[in-house]
Amino acid sequence: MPAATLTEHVSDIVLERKTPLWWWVGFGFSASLLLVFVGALGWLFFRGVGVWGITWPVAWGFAIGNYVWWVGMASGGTIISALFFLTRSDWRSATNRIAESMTVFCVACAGIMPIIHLGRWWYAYWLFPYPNTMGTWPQFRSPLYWDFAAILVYVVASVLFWYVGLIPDMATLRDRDTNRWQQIFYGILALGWQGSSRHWREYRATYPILAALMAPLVCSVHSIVGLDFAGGLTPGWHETQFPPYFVFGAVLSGFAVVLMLVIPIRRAYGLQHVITERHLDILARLMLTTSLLITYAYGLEVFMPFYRGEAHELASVMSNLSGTYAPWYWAKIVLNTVIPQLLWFRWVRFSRPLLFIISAGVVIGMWIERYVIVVSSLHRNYAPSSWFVFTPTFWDWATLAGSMGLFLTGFFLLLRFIPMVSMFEMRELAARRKPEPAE
Amino acid sequence: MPEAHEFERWSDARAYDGTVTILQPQLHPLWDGWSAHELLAVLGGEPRPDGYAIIRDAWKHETEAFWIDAVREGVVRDSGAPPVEVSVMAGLAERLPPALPASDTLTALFRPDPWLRDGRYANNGWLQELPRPLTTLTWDNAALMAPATARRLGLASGQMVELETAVGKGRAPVWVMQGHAPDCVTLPFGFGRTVAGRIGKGVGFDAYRLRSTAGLWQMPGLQLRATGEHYALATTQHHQMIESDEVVRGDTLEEFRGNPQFAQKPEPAESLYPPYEYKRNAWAMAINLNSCIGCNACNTACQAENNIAIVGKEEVLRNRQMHWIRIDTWYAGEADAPEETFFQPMTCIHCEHAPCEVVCPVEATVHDTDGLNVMVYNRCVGTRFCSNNCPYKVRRFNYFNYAKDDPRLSLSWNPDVSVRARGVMEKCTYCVQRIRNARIEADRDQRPIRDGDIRTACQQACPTEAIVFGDLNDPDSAVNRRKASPLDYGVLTELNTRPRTTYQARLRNPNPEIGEA
Repeated sequence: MPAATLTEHVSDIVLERKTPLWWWVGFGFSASLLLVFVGALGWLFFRGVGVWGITWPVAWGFAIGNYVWWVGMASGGTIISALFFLTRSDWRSATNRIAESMTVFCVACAGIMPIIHLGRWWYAYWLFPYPNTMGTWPQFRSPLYWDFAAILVYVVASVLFWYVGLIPDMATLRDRDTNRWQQIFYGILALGWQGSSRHWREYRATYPILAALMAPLVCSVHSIVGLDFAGGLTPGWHETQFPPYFVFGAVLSGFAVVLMLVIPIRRAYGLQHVITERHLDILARLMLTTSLLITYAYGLEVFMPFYRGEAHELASVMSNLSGTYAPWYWAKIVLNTVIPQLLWFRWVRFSRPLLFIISAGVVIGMWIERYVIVVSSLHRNYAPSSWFVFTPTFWDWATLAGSMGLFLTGFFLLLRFIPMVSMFEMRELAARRKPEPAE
Repeated sequence: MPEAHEFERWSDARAYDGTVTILQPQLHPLWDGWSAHELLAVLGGEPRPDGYAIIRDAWKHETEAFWIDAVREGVVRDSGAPPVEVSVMAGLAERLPPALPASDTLTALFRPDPWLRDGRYANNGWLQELPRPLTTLTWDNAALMAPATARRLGLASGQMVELETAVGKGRAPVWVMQGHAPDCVTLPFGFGRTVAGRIGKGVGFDAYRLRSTAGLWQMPGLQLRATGEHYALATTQHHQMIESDEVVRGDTLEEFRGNPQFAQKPEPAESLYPPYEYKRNAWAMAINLNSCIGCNACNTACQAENNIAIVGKEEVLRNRQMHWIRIDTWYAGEADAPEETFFQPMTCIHCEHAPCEVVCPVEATVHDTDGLNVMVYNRCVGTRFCSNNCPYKVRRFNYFNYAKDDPRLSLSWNPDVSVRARGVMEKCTYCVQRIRNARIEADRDQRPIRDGDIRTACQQACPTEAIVFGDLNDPDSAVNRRKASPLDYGVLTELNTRPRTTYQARLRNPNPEIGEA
């Protein structure tokens, strides 16, 4: 697609007065889920964290699983935007705006979870190292503190990176717009971008630095999330492979959710020539690769306890394979390991419905994986007199569904008001590939 | 109406053998109390009763000398009843109920509930929530039966059954209890009160309906019928079979003689960090598994001393009970017929290398210079990682505002201990308030704290003195004497926690002529 037409096409989607019906339906559904979230949080704050199913000894439940799930999905966006920018992968430009926007809202949902799961969430700011009258600092040896620092950095960096990548497109919208209020709105967001060579020179210096900061964040943030568990001595958590294990899982779920978003968006906005089948093929291959990586990690998780022979680790593994949570465990194996193997076949990769279903399965499977990790290792631990099965309550599910509402609402808003393809990057790409005929 | 104290009133009494004694007042009633005799006299129509006159009048059939002797000596000699010759009536054996019930029938056994007794304490929230010994049931009674009986009848724990004896009917949930005698069903009474106060009303089922004087303690011919309904029974321990000798250790005396170190396991390697020196006191505790009878007095004492709230049945069903000390009941052997029952009190072990301290992000749990692992309630934000990281699972979390919802009189809380808010973690503190009090007094008198000055609440209440608390730095302390025993072991020491509370392993001495009992 010629560059000028692409710009017109994408910016017109945003600037058009009439919002398509499917957007209203989707937004309405998301907003109602968001209301569920607000209600669930309100009841949680009023009554206490006991409205969830968490108990003794399973003191962590859905909230931590949700947190890891959301932050894992956020990583997919970061990898596509930042890592594949550094590797100069051209295909990235078509999907990176969707991916980054997804990251921003995934990380918002992720950041909320560890705060609301606190018994006294109104003191969450105590995890921040600030000088105070009590003379107290956070306890720096705690993996939860590292987690707090990592998420803070990740949130700030993701938003910055997304926003900086958005500025030239905001300027395009400002320039193309005819409505005064929209001009002002996009004008403010464009921060005075004029597209001069000076601006572009500074941009070319800034953006790669941000990308170079963000790309390692994928590894470090998820390794720290893994250390949240590996730093404890619970059998089933205390595994040295958890940092890379969580990174693999995060990236897998990230690619899956990008696919789940890209496939309907390209259809809804008619972007089939921008986000081509080749893009989907690449994303599918990436998903397959990470699925193989996580399969390796799952295999090690089962192999190492047998290799070492330590009684409690063995008990933990056997509990996963054949205990109370075995159906969940095997569901995760099927969804994350077995079904993605279909992606070896070309016809599967090029079939959009199948790709969507496989991705949805992976997203669900990754949630199940986090749930099993959190709950299964805690319910059978070193003290047999405390063994107890965790059962979620209605509010657990409501909070999970509600967080999806938060994500979807934000994403729908972005769909409407922000161009979903990075127009300036696509223009660059087109100019590099096929020099345009002189007008 | 205030009752006069024993020292304030005239009365009389008989000892168990009939010996008469006259009770004399030492002082006039301080608060205008009345004795029971005076009250009865008023109810009988006497407007101004005189306690002395009533008692003197009751003994007017005796001589004046008798009276003077009685009030001077206190007891009247030789007023006891003479012994009576008795012999077993003929044909008694045939009149007694059979020693064992006929197979395929059920015998109902009536027993008082261990805490509520005949039901008088049904309105006591502490006792309702205190786990019963062996079953660890709370807030309910159940029809207890053996696993074999349950299998025969096709029943499982929690299923409602209809019970019928010769005198009445009732409904009760079943509880399968390891080690229970086969073909009998224990029905604890004391529950099912309809008028008992806010807490006790409507809790459990009423076993008195099934009971009569014909069979006060056992009644053969119990009819039992499954209803298919389910009833949730709240217990605090869901896994009771011993699978390894990690947590509880015990053996026979003979084995011990052959291998005195049977309770010892290899210690983990020394740490790379230099050990911390506890220069002043080093508080520790020793719990003797040979003495613990599982009575749970320590549990209630701790609840009283440390302002531990009750949480109610719904929360116990979610396993959120707040007891800082728990008595774990362990069965060794087969579930159908366990060979041995162990009781193990478990509190915070106050590990020297506490896993909970490392993972708290706000440093709400720290170690003090006496070796205590202390919990700073007002710093806790409630991440609950410490609970996850405690291998002994001794930490309790306030999932709701249990203290505020606890229906206690506000003046009944112990003022020496703070009451925890919602969202805060708590655990055993080795009764740190008692340690502080003892230290203040010792400093004031300028002497070290003596062994025995500090008794933790659990130690104080324990009837068998299974729990001993003291100073490791004092070579003569009772706790050091206990820990010197070869039976002394720590739980889960391979995790390098360096526990301060250790246990003395259980020794059995079965009579070889009786066989494995």
